[in-house]
Amino acid sequence: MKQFLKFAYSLQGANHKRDGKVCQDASRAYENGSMAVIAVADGHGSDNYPRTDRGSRFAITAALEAIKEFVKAVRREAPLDAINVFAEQKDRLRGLELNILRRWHESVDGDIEENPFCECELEKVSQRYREAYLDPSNPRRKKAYGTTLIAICATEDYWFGLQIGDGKCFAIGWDGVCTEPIPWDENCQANITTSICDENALEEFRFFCGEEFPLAVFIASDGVDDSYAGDDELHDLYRTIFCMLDEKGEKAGTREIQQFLPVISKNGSGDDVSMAGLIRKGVQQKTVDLVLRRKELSAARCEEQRLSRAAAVAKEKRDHLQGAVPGTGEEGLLRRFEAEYEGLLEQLREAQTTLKEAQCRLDEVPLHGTLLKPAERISPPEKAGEGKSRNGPGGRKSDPIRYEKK
Amino acid sequence: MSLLDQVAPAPRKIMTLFYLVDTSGSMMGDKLGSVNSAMEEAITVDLPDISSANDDAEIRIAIMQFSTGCAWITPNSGPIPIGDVIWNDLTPNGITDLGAACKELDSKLSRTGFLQSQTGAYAPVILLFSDGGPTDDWESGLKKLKENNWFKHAIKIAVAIGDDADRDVLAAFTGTPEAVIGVRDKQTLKALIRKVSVRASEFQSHSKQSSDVVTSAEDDSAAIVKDVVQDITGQSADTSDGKPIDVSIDPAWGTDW
Repeated sequence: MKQFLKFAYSLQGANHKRDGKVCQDASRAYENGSMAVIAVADGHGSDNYPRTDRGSRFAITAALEAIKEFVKAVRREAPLDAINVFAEQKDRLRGLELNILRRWHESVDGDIEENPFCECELEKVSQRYREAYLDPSNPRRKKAYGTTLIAICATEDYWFGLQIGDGKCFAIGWDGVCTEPIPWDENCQANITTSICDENALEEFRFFCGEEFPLAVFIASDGVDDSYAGDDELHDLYRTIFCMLDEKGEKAGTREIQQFLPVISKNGSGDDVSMAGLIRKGVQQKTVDLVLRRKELSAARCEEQRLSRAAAVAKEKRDHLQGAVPGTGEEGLLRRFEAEYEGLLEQLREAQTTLKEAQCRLDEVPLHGTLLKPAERISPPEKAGEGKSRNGPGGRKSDPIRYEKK
Repeated sequence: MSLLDQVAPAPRKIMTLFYLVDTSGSMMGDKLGSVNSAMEEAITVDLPDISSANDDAEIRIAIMQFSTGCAWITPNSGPIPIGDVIWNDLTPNGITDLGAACKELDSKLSRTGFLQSQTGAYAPVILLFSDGGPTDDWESGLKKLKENNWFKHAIKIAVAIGDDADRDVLAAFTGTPEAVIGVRDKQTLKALIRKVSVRASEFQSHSKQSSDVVTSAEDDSAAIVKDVVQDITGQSADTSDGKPIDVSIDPAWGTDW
C-alpha cells in the first residue's frame, strides 16, 4: 500500500534539554501491504511521573500491534463493508481500545517487575506519589508511566483515528480545508490531560472513522500545539508542510521537517515535540495550488486578527492615559502609546489589504467551486473558525463517524 | 529559504496572573493604602522579573477591582504583559460585591473571554485581596465560578487583609483555608505579593499530569502558601489544623495599618 508519504519524529524539548530531562515523547510511522499507521504519544512531564518516556514507547507499540490485529480481523470478517463495521459495531472499536490498554498495562507490569521503583528515581516525586510507587499493592503505581496517545490508520476501504489525552489531529481535505476529525475532550485543559494511566481510560478514548482518506492527516503532541497561538496557526503550519513536501519530495521534505522540530520547541513551547503525517502521493498540481491559496488566506487572516487585537489593546492603553498632566511621567507614556497605536493601525490597514488579495487569489483558482475529483464537490471559501464544527475532512462518500468519550 | 521558515512559532505558552482587589469602603485607610503601595511596587519593580526569569511561560496580568460592582483595571480586551500595566491608586468606596466579581471572573475564564488565543495556556493563578464581608449574593456567584474548569485547575490564593477579615469567605473562594494567608503589615504584604506571584507562576508552568490526579489544585495552592510563608518567616508554617496562616515579619504587626 505505497500510496502514502509518511513520517514520524520525536525530539527532546529545548527546556527538557536545559533541565536534563529525557525526551518523554515517542512516535512511529508504519506501512505494509494493507495499511498505513502513524502514532504519537506524549509522556506526562510533571516530576510526579518519572517513567513516562517508557510509558509513551509502550503506548506506541501497543497501538501499532493492536491496530494490525484489528485491520486483519476486519478484512477477514467484513472486507467489503468496513465502514458499517464501525457504524453498527461500536463494540469493535471498544475492543481495539481495550486491546491497546491491555497491551500497555502488560508492558508496564513487566517493566515494574524487571525494574522495581527505587528511591533514587523518586527524589523529585511528591510524597503521595512516592508512597504509591513504593507500595507493590497500589494500582496507582502505573501512573509513573502516564502518557497520551494518538493513532491514525488508513486502509484501502476506510480510515480511522483514535486518541486519549491532548495533542491534536488535523486533516486536510481535497478542498484544502483543514478539519479536526477526532473530537476534542474538554477534560484536557491547561496542565491537565486525560491519560492512558487513568482508571477510567477506556471511557476517555475518542475516535473518528471515515471511508475515503483525505489529502493528508497530521498528528502532533501538545509540544507542537502549544507553540502556536491557535488552530488557525496550526492549519497554516500543516498546509505549509503539505505544500513543502510536494515541492521538495519525500526525502528532502521529511528532512526539513526533522530539522524544523527543534525550531518549534526552542521558539515555542520548549516542550518535547512529536509530529507524524500520512500524505497522499501523486496529488495533482491544481489541488496543491488550492491548498496553497487557502494557506495564504489563512495566514493573512491570522495576521489581520493579531494586529486587530493588538490595536484594540493599544487604543485602550492610550485612552486610559488621555488627559495626562503635562510634565508627568504619564505624559511620556501617553506619547509612547499614541505612537504605538498609530503604527498598529497602519499595519492593520496593510494586513486588511493583503487579506482581500488572498481571498481574490483563492477565488481565482480555476477549479475552485467546480469538481476536483470525480463525484466530489468543493466546499465554499473557508470562513473564520473553519473546521471546528464540520464533521470531517472533505472528499467522503458517506458521513464519517465521530465517537466522543462517554 | 524553506517554506517552513514562514511558520516558525513565536509565542511562548501564556500564563495569566489574575489579581482581584477588594476596594469596598471597609478597605479604607491603611488596608487599601498598603495594597496600593505594595501592588505598585510589585508591578513596577518585582513582577517584570518573573516573566524574563520564567523560560517556560509568558506571564500576562489581569487586575480587577470590586466594590459596588466590579471593573477591570487592565484592558477589557484581555490580559497584558507586565511591562504594560499602569498602576493607579485605587480608592475605597461602596459595598463588597464579591458575587459580582465571581461572575465577571467566570465570564472571562474561557476561550471566548480572556483565554481566547491560548491553545495550550497554563492554568491561571488567581490572587484575591480582601477583608471579606461580602454584601451581595456571593455564594451563588462563587458556585457558578466553581463550575468553571479553568477556575477548578487554577492556583487560588487569598490574602486576608487586617485582623477583622472574614476568612471563611476567603477559604470558600480558595477551596481550602490553607490557601488563605492573613497579613497585618505593609512589609509582609509586599513580600507576599512578590513571592506568591513568582512561586505560583513557577509552579503553574510546570508540566503536565493526568486527569485523575493524586493532588488537587487546592492541595497545590496550600503547598505554595506553605512554601512562601516559610520563605518569608524562615519558619515552617503549621497547616495541620486546617486553618488560615497568619504571617508577619514586622515586629510591630497589627499596628502598622
